[in-house]
Amino acid sequence: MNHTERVCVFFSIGSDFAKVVRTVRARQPHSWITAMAPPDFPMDGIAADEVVRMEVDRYRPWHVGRLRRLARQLRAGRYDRFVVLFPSVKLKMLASWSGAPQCECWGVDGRVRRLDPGFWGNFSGEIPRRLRGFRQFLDLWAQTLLRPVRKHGR
Amino acid sequence: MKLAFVDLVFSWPPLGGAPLDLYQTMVGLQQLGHDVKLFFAADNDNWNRGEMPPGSLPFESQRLDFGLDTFTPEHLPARFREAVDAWRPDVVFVCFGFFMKPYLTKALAGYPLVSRYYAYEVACLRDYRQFWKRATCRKDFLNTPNACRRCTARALSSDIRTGQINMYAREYLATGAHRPEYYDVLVESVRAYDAIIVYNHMTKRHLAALNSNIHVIPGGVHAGEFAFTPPPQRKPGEKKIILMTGRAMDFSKGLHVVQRCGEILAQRRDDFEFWVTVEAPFVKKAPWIRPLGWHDVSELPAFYRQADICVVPSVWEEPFGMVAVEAMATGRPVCVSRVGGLQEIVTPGETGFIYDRNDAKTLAGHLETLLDQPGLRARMGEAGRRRVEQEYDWPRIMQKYYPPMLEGLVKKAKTA
Repeated sequence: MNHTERVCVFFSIGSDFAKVVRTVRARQPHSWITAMAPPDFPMDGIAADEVVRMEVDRYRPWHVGRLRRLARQLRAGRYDRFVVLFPSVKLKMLASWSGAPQCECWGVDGRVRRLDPGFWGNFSGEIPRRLRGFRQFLDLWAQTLLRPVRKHGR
Repeated sequence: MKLAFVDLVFSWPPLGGAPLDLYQTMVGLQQLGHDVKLFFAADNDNWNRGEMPPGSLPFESQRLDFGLDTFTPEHLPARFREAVDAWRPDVVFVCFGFFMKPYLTKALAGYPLVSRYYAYEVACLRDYRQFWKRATCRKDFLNTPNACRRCTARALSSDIRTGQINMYAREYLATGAHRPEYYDVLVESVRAYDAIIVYNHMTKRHLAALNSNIHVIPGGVHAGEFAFTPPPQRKPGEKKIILMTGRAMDFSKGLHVVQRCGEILAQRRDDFEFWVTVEAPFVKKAPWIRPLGWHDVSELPAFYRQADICVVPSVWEEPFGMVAVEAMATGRPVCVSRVGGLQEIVTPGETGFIYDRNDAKTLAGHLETLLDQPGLRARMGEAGRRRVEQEYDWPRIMQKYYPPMLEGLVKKAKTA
């Protein structure tokens, strides 16, 4: 691992963010780590000299202007690695726009899942998953609405 | 006696109250001289289920690995049966297990079976909480299965449709819990248990029509870990601290009641400050409230020691109320809402006060009484500590509830 590697950890609401930042710091002791979180977001147990803290505002709904500003902010950081906490579509999109060659999803339990840094690569896996999900969704509602429990009550 | 414990959601360190309760129960039974062994599921395709650093448990355990294709009602129960048979226990405890638990129970037929329910698993498929639209849900799966199935489908739909399926939704589908047949499997499993352990009398009443052998066994603390501390001596003008711990960002925990109560109190006095274990963005800013952020359980005793009074304002039917017990163990008076198992912990007027849920005005009245009377705070704190030592200390719980229950099971098995 390169000692000058620049890592950005993007926040998600919850106590897990601080835990993941701590794990990243422990595993990459020589990296330059930026923790991106809104103002007054807690980072218990993380010393200020261990990570650089950068503020973003994301408590309001997403809109194009805000997203563009955020993407510009991320690209300006020229990160080598972009870390998110969940593989959600929004965060995957942000990862692909961050410009970082390596994008990862880190779990609280220390598991690391690689995300494709490319926009299309990231979303190609989405299509079969969505199709499978839609089929399950149809089955769920068909069972729920068309096949009621007949005999019930104690 | 050889006691097997089967759990499908266990992980360590614990991610909630259920694994902690199971751990303490197993350690306690081991100390009582029983042979205990935990059989737990690990799911390689799911995070946290079965995650555990090797050697982290002080008792024997066996991990059974499953994946997407094998975490099914056809495969999993048979694997557990095989593993349990190889150990030949006298009694099997079936612990936490989402939707797979009824199938597991069926597979383990023939052993004396004890089930531990931690919340409202039988009543609410959506999330075991029977809490909907910011109020207690009056429906329950046993009586209104079709309404509950629709509610669960609505709640899980968006995740399922987008394919972002979490562990819970995936198990809902994999076990066929969305199908009508699941109702019968669940009802039969509740009937099949030789004993059921629940946290409170409300749950007992709910299950009583299906099973007559239900034991209310509370959770506990190690009284030694929450050392009794005399109330802080406040200088004139110094603010008294009212502490709310727990997952306060969750609406059902009642932070909004504390905020309304604070507004009422602030109109009359300024000698108090609420400390809440929540992040700043979740709290309406006010000079009398201090968000403490999230804290690990190990850090909580320090907060209890600094506090003068503790509040547990939950608005859902809290099955138990560990934070109330922790506060009482430290010697603090507690004001709790009249819900679920929480109301069974506090003796009103002796160890604290109970008020109707959402009633911020009455809570404010109780807090004023306590703020004005340091003697009463100290007396209630001491009484709370005594109650914890008598009722909620783990060794006492184990001695009091488990030997009679196990003897009853053995007798019943012999008769059978």
